[in-house]
Formats: sequence, C-alpha cells, structure tokens
Amino acid sequence: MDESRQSDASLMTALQEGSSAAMSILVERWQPRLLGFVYRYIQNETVARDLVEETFVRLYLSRDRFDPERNFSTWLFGIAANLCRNQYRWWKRRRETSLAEAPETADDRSPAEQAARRDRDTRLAAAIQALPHALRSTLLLYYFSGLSYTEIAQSLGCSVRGVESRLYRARQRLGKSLSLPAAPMQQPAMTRPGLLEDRALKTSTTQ
Amino acid sequence: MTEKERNTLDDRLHAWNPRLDTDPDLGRKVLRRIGEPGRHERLQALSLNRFRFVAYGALAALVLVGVFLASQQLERHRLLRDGSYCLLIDPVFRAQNSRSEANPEVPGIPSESYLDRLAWMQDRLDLSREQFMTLVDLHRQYADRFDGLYRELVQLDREYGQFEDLRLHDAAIDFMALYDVLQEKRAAEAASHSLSQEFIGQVLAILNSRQRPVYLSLVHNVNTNKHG
Repeated sequence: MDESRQSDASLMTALQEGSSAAMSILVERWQPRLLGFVYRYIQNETVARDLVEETFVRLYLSRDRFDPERNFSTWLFGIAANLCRNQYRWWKRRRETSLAEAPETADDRSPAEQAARRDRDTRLAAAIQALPHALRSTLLLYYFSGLSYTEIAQSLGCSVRGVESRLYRARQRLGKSLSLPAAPMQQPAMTRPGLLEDRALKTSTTQ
Repeated sequence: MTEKERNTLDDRLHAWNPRLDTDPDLGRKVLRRIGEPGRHERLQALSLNRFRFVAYGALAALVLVGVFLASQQLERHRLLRDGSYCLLIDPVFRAQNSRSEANPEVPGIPSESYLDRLAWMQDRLDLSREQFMTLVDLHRQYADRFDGLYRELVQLDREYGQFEDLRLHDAAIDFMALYDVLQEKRAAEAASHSLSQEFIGQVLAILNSRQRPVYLSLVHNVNTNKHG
C-alpha cells in the first residue's frame, strides 16, 4: 500500500514500529498547517520553524504513548500549543519582542494596497499577541488549524464549552482592540470543513 | 475581497495570510535529530544505566559507611564491656574508677544476675553450656571477696584523702598514721592482685586451649592499671 495514502493513525503505528518513512510523510502532510498555526502564535518565522521541527521530534519521542483511537491532529497541535506557550513565557521573562520578523503576506495587489494590508496585518498580529495563551491558542486553532471545537478542546485539555467561551472572549477582545465589530462567525465550528486559511503556505516539496 | 469589504474580524483573520514556504528538508532534519530508530532508547538506557551505576555506587558507599560505623560502635561497646568485666574481677581498678563517683559504695551484684551479666562470654569464648555454668558459679564464689577488697580500698582511699586535706590546710598530721594507711592500702592492693590472679588461673583451668588466649586478651590489663 502507498504509504502516502495511509491514515495518520496507521502512519503512527508504522512509526512505532521504526519506520522513518512514516515520519517523513507525517512531516510533509502536517508541516503547512502546523507552521501556519505556530507562526501566527509566535510571530517570528525563524523561531516558528524551530518549534515546528521540535514538535515533530516530540511527536517521535512520545510515539509509544499515541492512542490510535485518539485524533492525531489534536495530539499534534496539543504538542505545538504547549511549545508555543513555553517559548512565549521564555520571551516574556527576557522582555523580548517576538515581532521582529514579519514575512510578506500573499498578495498581488498594488503597492498602496499592499502597504495598507501590511499595516492591517501588523495591527491584527499585535492584537493577537496581546491575548493570553488560552484565548490566543483557541482562536488560532479555530481559524487556522481546521480543528473542530471538540478537537480544539482535546488539544488544549479543556471542555467544548470552554472552547466556546474562550473563542467568544478572544473575539470580543480583538474586536475592541481593532475597533471592529466582532460579527457572528461565518461557519459553525462543529461542521466546519477543515482548514480556513492556509492557501499561502506553499509547499515547496510539491514544486 | 477589497479593503472596504474587510470590515469584520473574521474578514481580517481570514485575510491574515503570511507567506511562509514550507521547509522541504524538515523531514530530513527531524530524522537527523531523532537519529536512526532505537537510538533514543539506547541513549535513554545508557543514561539510565549511568544513573543506576551512580545510585548503586552511592548505595554501596552508604553501606560501607554504615558497616564502618557499626563496627566502630561494636568495638566501643566491646571495650566498654571488657572494661566492665575487669571492674568485676579487679578491685583496684574498680576503686580507681569509683574515685570520681559521688557514692562509690556499689551494692553487691545479686547472684542470679551473673547469668545475664556474663551471657556475652558464651559467644566471645565459644563456651559450652557446662563451661558457662561453671564460670558463673566461679564468679559468684569470688564476688564477695572482690567486693570486700573493693570496699576496703575505697575506705583506705578516703582515709588517705583526709590526710591529704589535713596536710594542705594544717601542717600538723600524724605521719605514722598516714604511713599505716599507706601500708594497709598497699597490702589491700597486693591482696587484690593475688586474688585476681588466682581467679584468672581458676578461669583458665575451665577453658580449653583455644579459649584461653581469648580470655587472656580480655583480662590482660587486670592489675596493670592500663584498663581501656
């Protein structure tokens, strides 16, 4: 059977049996979404890439504890969210800013529009960075990882009601910070079909 | 979506789309970090073994220290017991030890307690039951005479002490009386020495050739004023 078509759970089983090919497939499959989430949380590209790498290393080290009955993505994003939180705490202790790097946003518009967009994104990034870990991780997982409420709850170790509450509070705070109306969410989370935004994450391996 | 259309939070979030190329070498980097399958387990086992080695080493050191301290304690206990035994069969030594005591009048030892007091000799000398009972009887038989000499020596020590007090505070003392006391003291010490030697001879007669050196090492300081 072609390994690239295997489910995450069966790849994890193969990884438990010592298959390095399984790890390569998992990395290729999950790197874009993981990088998207981690970058938006950390807002520093170099550190985000390091954390993504560390996430996969942790995944390998704890492979024997993986329960095939459990959703792989919740496990993976749970590891990543913890790493992000630890990194951010480390930064806070050293009073450093993580907004040193801001990669270009995918755009083919005019320079004026691009400048306006950069400004808008910078303010959004700053507002997100001001959120506490619980709210920030919930918001980013909801918008950029493609996980459902239940999966987010499993990743972050809280209840589904907790996810709803956190998401509501995060949106309220963001709306206030950006002077924007926190309009009702466009798609019901429980039925949301996967990822909303990772179009700009170009997979170089496919080039 | 134009600038005007992006006026809700969801719009802003959906539009936040940083250009991040995925790393085509990430898989290789991860595999390099985790090494070949089984490497981490071996490293963990190695560090566990190291930890185990250190733990065993520390445990062994603790045991050695414990054994050393216990042996020191046993040795001290043995010396104290040996000294205590010498007090039993050497009235001069006993009198010397009692000088520092407020009340040196030691009551006689109840004869039945000799069984307990001498129980250690069974192991130390590897005595048969019969030898042990004979030795206990022998100690009982000599006990009165040892106690009598001890009391006499204590009394003579006191009298000598009184003469010393008088000599220090009043030069007029009866030197003839002092001489008599000293003579009596020497005689009592000689009697004590003889009695101890007689007693030791009696004990040696009960012991076999293997037990005698052990007993002699136990009492070799008797009447030589070198008790530990």
